[in-house]
Amino acid sequence: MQSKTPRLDDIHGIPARARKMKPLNVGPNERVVSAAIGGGLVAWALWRRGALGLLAGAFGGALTHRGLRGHCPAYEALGLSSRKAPKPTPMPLGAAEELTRIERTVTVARPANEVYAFLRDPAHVPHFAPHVERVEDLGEGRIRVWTALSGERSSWEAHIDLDHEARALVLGHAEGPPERLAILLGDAPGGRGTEIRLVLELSKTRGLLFRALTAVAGADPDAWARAGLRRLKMLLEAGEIVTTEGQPSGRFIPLTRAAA
Amino acid sequence: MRVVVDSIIGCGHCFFCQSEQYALCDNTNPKPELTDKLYGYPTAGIYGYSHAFGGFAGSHATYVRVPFADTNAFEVPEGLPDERVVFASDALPTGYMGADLCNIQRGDVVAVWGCGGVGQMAILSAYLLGAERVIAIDRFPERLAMARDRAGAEILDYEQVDVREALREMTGGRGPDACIDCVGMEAHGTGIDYAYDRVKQAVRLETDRPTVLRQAILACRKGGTVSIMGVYGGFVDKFPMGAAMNKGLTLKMGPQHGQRYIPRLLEHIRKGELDPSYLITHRARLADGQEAYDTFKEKRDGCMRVVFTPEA
Repeated sequence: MQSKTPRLDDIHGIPARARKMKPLNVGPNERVVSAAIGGGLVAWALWRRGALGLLAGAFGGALTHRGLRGHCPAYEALGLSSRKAPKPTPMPLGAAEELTRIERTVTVARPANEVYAFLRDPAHVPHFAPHVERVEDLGEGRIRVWTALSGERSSWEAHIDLDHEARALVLGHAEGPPERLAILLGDAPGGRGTEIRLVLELSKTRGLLFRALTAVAGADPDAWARAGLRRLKMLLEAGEIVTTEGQPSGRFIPLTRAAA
Repeated sequence: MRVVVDSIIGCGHCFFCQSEQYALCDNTNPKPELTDKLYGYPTAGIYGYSHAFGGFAGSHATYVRVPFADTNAFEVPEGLPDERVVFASDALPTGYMGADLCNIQRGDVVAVWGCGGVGQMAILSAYLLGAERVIAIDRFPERLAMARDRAGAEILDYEQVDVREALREMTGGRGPDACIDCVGMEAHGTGIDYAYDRVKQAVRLETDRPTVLRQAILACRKGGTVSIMGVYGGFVDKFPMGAAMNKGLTLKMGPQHGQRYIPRLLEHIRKGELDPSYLITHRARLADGQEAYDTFKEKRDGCMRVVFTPEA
């Protein structure tokens, strides 16, 4: 059966994280030789030390990695392969994926209209979306999202690009580089509920370092997406979010008791 | 009202709970990251267990918080003493599920590895589900005696006999129709494979010792069922896949879906068809918990199960 989910031309089935961006291009014998020579060089480097040792260590490490992983960046640049197998068809990143794209899907045992109605109510969002404090409906398809991360409060205005009853909800924003948050709903087969797909398109101008830093601070977008979907599923299915917060533990003695 | 609470938590609403596979619940593990990576998908939360399964506090306490009580708590029928129903929380449904997965037919001979709490319950359950004979395997004399005298099994001490040869002879050369592993990853053995596992574990190349699992697969009759209730955590080596495949075995396993079984088990207990209270060998106050745990762990003084009384 054809899915009734509206297809956004650049949103497709296999997320970037599931695609092999570095296909095998080193043959099996060469991999063994490469790993063995690399390992030998690393061992020699550890014994030799000094500048030459450092150089040999780095080169040996690269050879070992090439052998273990089976992918050689130099071969790729030159379009070479020492494998006999046919070259895999590349799955290049689409234009939109040049942005940081995160896709996560979860199945919830509830009908799509119920899921949609729950998501559409701004009051519900802070209960499942991590770090979101409040969502304000400004009318005319605009909303303001208030977030708080380790005490830092901020807000951003988003506009609803697409709102399709029980099928899709796509948010974008006006300021800065184009970014999108899309929630697509599809029926799971056999009456098993609704497949909720969350697609985040984040701007790369924020840079790798920025992302690494925010990840340490607990704002890694992929972890955010997964935690949000998990909590949404718990709320929709079980009606509450399961936690062990505040339970007693024999391992950590509460300060109050230690002080007493 | 007194209740029995299953040791594994189900939400009662997800796909798995709806299909009575409560231990696979999607929604009760608040710390799913580790098992998501290690097992592919996270499983349910469990009281007093590894933090990989949610890190819920244990039930050796005066009060226990029970999430989704309407799914996980079961009323105890009037007139039954606590001692007879306390094991309906974990050991009994685990053993019962081990036997239930064997799809026992008339005339079947069932072999049970391990005569601890779960093993004893598996023996009783196999008889309840229609097994002709049950053969129990262990090495501790007091546990074997219990399996023989209280659960009615024929017994084998694996330090005295070659288990595979003995089982073959005892079953007319056919082999047991079903084998239940109630031991798991901390198995002991006497053979060369046991030494091999200890060495591989020592150098961290293997996490679990599948000594019993290998033996059960080789001992099981062709086309039989191997039911795995003993706990495994990570990876095993030298798994006899060839024997399992070529003999057409059915392997069934899993953490216990107690909510599926507890109502019928309480009914068996009420009718007097089942009495697990003989597992209690020791009693203790919560204040003596450490000593009681040591006694249990080191199997001192014939210890099978210690029951805590919070009020005392």
